[in-house]
Amino acid sequence: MGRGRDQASRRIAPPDEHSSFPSSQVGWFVERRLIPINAWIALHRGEGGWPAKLAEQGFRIHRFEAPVQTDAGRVVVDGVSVADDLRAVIPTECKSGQSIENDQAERYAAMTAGNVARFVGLPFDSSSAELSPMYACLEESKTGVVVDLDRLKLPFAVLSVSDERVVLDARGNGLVRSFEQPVPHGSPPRYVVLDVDSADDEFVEYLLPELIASAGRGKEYVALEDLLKAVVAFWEIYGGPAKRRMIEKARNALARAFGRHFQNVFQFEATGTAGGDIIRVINSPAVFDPRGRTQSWQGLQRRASASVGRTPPRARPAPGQQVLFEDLGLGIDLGD
Amino acid sequence: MRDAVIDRPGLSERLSRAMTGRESGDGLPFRIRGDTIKSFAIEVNGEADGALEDVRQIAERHHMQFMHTHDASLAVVWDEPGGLFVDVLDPRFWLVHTTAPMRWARSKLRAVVSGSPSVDWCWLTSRMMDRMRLQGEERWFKADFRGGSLLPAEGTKGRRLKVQLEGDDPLDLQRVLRDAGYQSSTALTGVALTLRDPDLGNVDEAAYYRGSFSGRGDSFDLHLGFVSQVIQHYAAQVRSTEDRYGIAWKIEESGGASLSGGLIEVVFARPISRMDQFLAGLFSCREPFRLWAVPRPVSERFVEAEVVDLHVGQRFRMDITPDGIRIYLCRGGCGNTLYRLLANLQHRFDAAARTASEDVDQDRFYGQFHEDS
Repeated sequence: MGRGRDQASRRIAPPDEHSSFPSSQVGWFVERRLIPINAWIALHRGEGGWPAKLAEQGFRIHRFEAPVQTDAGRVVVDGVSVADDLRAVIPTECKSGQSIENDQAERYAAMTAGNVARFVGLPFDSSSAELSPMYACLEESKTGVVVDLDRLKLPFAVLSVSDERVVLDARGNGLVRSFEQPVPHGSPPRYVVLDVDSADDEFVEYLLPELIASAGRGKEYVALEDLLKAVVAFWEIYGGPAKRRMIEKARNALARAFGRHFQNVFQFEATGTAGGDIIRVINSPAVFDPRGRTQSWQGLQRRASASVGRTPPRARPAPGQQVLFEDLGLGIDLGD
Repeated sequence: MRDAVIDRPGLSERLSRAMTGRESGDGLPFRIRGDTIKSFAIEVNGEADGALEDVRQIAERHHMQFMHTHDASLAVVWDEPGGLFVDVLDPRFWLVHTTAPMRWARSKLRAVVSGSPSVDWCWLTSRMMDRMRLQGEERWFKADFRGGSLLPAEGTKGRRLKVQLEGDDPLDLQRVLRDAGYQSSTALTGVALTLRDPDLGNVDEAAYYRGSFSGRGDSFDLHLGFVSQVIQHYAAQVRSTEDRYGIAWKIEESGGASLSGGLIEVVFARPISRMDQFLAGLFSCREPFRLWAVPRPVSERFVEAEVVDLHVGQRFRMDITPDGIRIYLCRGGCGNTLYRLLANLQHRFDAAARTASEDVDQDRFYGQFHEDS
């Protein structure tokens, strides 16, 4: 999924002068690197206000992270969609950068429906099926992707996404029709939020709430791998090296956060066969006296906010006039 | 005494007699007093060996006595002031009946719910409350909307609205309020009906959106039929939501992965005007939402959040826009979380909030059980 770290792809939204959020809080988007795969999903499922433009053309999602061997070599396809009526197959590569990898593109060019059927199966007879690849990217990367595809004389469709619109340029792909469609403000539905190339900070963003949830269930020990399994979409499909890389990133990022903000709350176990990969919950509000529990959870919220560089949203208390009524003995019965 | 000398028909007979003032509780370890039956629906994700064992353990934790009955899915729990009949026919959605004072019963159950991550109320949405009215003659309606924590003090129409009306056609007032522009504040908090059955008699029935009911009249069976139908419907909704929308990634034997489930969309009729206040109220960790998050505001119009439901200790994802929220429940997560969120948004932010996702908080389940009954 667009391998290669792209620090510059993270961006801060421009501060809005009318915003009630401090500008320092107008924060991080879901990694832009992961927008194309999530947009591709949304265009098949039509959720969250996103148009189901690919579903309207008869396509549905068949597989993610599909390993396919072609005559030119092996490629792991980010997403395979199929149209049963058309007997059509579209393997899609989601890119984050401005360019494509030549070898990988040649493998897509060599791919046949038979290859896909052999390695991940197809819901119809592959002998009469047609296949044509597609690249999905951010709109600002489209020019570079198209230039590279033209240079290699590959007529793949290109799906590009921006904050305002999604555009499918069918180019030489006869299986899909071009479209341009506005999209809602904000990210597409966020099914894929972390992968092997995610930044360390992102692991804290997503793993910490999972850890808090475990603490909420009263767990004393939590395996780091269990946190990753719960949050990383393709965890089970990743090979050993990728998993180890993610564990290392997650461990480092969480250890930093624990050291700075969660002393006496969470710590990595230092010993044992899985030393370093087991987190001990030292203090969980779940086991506190109920009278102080809410404040303790709020305390964890403040620590978590500090660890990701934000402050929790706070609103000015605005009790209204009820208190005044109560002073006059006219209080509204609060019931339950 | 090992077992209470009572079974399901016996319970029905005794509580029907109690409703007409002819039952004292002989043979039971507590007195049956009062002529009003209170019933509570709670959702329990049990961990013990069987629902009755869960009842026993919960009773023990709360210093109450426990006793089996002659029915394998019915238990009796009591302490000095009174007793509860706990019906675990559906091992996840329990019905608890009592004739003891409401204040005592509610405080007992509140302690159970707040003290355990595996127990929650059944949260009836406005649509469920609205459909309930069709079962009898409407006598009474109550709207109790409290927008103080999620809505700004200035620029909000109907930030706090509380009305209660008894008499013929009480829902006329609801329509008047909605037509006057208060549709986002006219929460359907409680309804009361008269149920009539040519064989069983009449029962005046009141229902509160937090899964509690109160019935007075001739027949416990009539009361129980009404309550059971509502809760069967509720249970079907929760299970359907979990089955259809719980998000899971599955490794396919033939290679690659597939995605099942999907996001649930809640649409507001009253847009969020102050996102910071909404977020602060929603993620305050307090009742009734009990949600923990460190939201990431992308802009004033789009906020991402990894949310922890502190009630059950489960994480889910949420995207918040002024016009609605997207909710991503994990497979294996608790669907009750969604209904608690929706019912409380309808009472704290927008009474007209609705789901836009198929089969979530929809009427068809109600029809199914109505036809079955």
